[in-house]
Amino acid sequence: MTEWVRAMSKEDSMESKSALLNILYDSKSSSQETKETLGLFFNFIARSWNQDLAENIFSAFCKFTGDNDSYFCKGRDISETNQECSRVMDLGSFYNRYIDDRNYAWGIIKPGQELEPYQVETLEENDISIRKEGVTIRGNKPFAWVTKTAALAEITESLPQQEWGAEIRNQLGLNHHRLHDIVYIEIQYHLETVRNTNLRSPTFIEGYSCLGDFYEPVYRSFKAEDGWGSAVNLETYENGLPEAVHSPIEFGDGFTLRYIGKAFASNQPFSTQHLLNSFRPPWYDNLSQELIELINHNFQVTIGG
Amino acid sequence: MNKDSISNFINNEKIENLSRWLEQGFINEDFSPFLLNDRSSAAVQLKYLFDILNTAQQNKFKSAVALSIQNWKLNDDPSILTDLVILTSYVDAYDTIKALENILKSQSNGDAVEIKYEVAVEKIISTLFGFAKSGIEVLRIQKLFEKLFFGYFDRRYAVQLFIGLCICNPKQYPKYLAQFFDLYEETKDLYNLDIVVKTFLHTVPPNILREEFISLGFTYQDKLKNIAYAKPFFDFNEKYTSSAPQAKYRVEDSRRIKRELMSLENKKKLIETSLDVVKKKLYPQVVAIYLFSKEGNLYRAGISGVDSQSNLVKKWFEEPHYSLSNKEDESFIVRAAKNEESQFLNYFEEEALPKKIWDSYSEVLGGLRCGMAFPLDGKNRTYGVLVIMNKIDQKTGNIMLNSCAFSDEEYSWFSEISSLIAIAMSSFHRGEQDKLENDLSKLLVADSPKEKVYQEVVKRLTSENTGFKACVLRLKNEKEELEVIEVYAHANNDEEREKILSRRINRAIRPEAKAFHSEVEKYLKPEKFLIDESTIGKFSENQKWVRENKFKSFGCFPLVAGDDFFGTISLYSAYDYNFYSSYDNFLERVTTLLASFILRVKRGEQIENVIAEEIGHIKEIVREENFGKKKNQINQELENLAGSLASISIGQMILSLSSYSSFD
Repeated sequence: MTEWVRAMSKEDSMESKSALLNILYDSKSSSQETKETLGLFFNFIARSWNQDLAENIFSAFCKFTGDNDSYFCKGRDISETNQECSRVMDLGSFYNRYIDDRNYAWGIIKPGQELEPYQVETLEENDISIRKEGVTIRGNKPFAWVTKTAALAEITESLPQQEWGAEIRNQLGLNHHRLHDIVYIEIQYHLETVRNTNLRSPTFIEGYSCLGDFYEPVYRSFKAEDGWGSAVNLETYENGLPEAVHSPIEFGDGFTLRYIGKAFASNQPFSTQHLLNSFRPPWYDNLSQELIELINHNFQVTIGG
Repeated sequence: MNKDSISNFINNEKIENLSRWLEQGFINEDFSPFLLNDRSSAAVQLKYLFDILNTAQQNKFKSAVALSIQNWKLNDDPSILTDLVILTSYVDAYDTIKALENILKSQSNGDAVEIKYEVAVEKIISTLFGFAKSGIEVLRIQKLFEKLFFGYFDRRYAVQLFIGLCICNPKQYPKYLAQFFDLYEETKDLYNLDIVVKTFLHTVPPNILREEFISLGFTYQDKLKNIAYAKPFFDFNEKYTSSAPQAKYRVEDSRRIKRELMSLENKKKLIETSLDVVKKKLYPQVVAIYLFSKEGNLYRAGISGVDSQSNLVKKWFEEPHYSLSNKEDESFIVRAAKNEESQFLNYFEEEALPKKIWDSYSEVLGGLRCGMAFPLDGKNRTYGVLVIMNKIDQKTGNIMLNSCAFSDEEYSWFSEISSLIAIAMSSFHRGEQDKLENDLSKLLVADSPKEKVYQEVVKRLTSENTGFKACVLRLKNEKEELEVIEVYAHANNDEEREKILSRRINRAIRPEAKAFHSEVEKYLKPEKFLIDESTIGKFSENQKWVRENKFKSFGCFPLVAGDDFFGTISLYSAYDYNFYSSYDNFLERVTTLLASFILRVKRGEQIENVIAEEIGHIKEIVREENFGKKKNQINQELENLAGSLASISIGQMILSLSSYSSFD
């Protein structure tokens, strides 16, 4: 465990330092469920270090969750919130996975492909009654990111529609979409739906779930008073839109769709250094030692076990 | 694996290995560098991949994808196929089609099918849309889709196939839409019609929607118009929607048909064209035109249709003439003519046609399910009946034996086409009448032998396009008797004609005889009446002949020029011929022309007699006087003069002679 933390804190790895900052932030959580999951994570690291983590220290996050879905959504339970929430999705992924083309017959929606006005109208007016059967709202891993509907509305009410996509992408920290034209759709959860959802504050477990080699993880643990986290704004590195995660839920009644539109590719590079610099408190030299002590003190880690 | 290593990997690996690598990517959630399993944005990731590959690498990658598709088996995890299919958005159509065909083949072999299979097929069809839109392999895709759509492949894919076909060949949308409407009627729960129609209306270009709308059957036009979303769309194309423009379009179409039919100068062609018009408008299995014969029976003048196998029937069975008064001939066709109103045929009413005819039609058509018969009403007479039987599904070309019915719109069109055909027939008959009158005029003013003229007149008045079966020309002879000069009867052949004519008594009518001819001569007005028991006595000697030939109406017209009465023309019709005004006028003009001819002939004969007499006198003088050597010369001159006068037409001779007052 200690070796992994030390490897992660190497000077030339901005991402891993950011990760340690996040782990430290989440390790101070008062949630018992969160603590238990972190304990399992630390024990996994301790067990796995000598096997294959040395080569790719970052793969620890992927390997930990593996096939076990139960490690996600263990942050603070905020499902009693009075906030309606929304999930923003790439339209192509949404349509191709969730909508039954046997009824719509629009064909494959390719990345960056915009909808025609009649299609927008159809999606927005016909709720989701002709969705695919048995599909659940989730991401690559068995959880889904959401933001507050009202926060999205602030953006859409203050900007012209052609700017919505890029602004929302940036404020949601969707770095993996940054280099390409992406069209977004918003799935609005009705309040009743939110309350029946296992809505949780996000932790680094979700923040570093596998994204693949092309994606630079952009995550910063944060918890507002109401328990909601916050995405990293890709342009300012400040807090972006509020974010939370929930376990997979059936996609059916209790949702409304809203077409957001296209976010054009951005030429502005994302700096992991800037991200690291934006942490509060920032990175400091003995953070890794502090983290090791905190883990040893608060979590029962069996070295080599 | 970074971008460079991926690039190297694709460069170095064989296609087969890449294919296996891809399959692993779809199976294994933690496969690196991509997450290609059934989660989230495999397509986005693959697009990224493509962006970093050069063309050669992309092609190699495509080949690997194609190979994965080919290797796919139903007992593999079907989710692999789902993702491969999405991936094929970046591959080419040929492999995708091949993949779909393989899947369908597997399904028909009874292999296991699960929900992922449905998704896979859905995605394949969706992917093919993209190729069709790009104009890639469109014909092949269309062929495949048509095969599935009209072959009633799993109906859950009907919307996709319908829209896909509209993408492939939008001009054929009426065919596809009609099929979809039929499928929708059978399995409504499967589709959201509003969404389907919305997609359809935005798939077919507006100009094609307008241009081809006419090809959509009336039933389907109505269905489309009744869908809320389609209404404003067609309001935009006002020509086809609101009632007034629809009426305008209808009128334009009617005028076009009318012009086409009225331009025809050949009766056979008129009938054939009429049958074609009905076929194009109403898609009946068979269409026929029945006309009244001179005997007043209905006979089949034209028929066109296909048999139960949709093959054009080239040789139809014999169909007898139908008598309007014979109960055995009673049918919906006869009723239409007799009652002068539309009649219908229903599959359960076998009495709608004589049993033998019903069976004959059933045998050829594969059954009788529905039909309509409309009288061809002209201004003054009914020409016959227009009949259609059974319907053809305009999309599939199949005979609609299960759900055969005509909509109100089709009924309305049928009525209108019947009227147009009747108008065209009326026009045709009027044209024939004009032609007859014109021919007679020429004949009568030409220098024709009177015998030939008389023969021609009676023959033409009983020709095909008149309503008369027999004609008798009587002229007054020196004894003031009305002598029969010519008799002619319409018949199918000379033998039959001879039989009809031989039974007639052609005795001259003496002036004192109390025949209706005396009335005609006395008042110089036609005598016309329907022949029944109360009037048959008027025929005295020829009562039997009238009965034998079943004449039903009669008209006797005086031949009058100035104050001179020369004789009569009698016309017999075998049905209740109504000598209505327009034909009456025609006959009056013909008889006037004939009377003028007779007057001219008679005057010419008188002049010839006078000239012959005068020349005879001169010859007498020459013979008695001594002209010496001049005698022979004078006689020769007189012969020449007589010959010249004889060779000059009577009209010219009259003109020539009028310029001489004497032979001085």
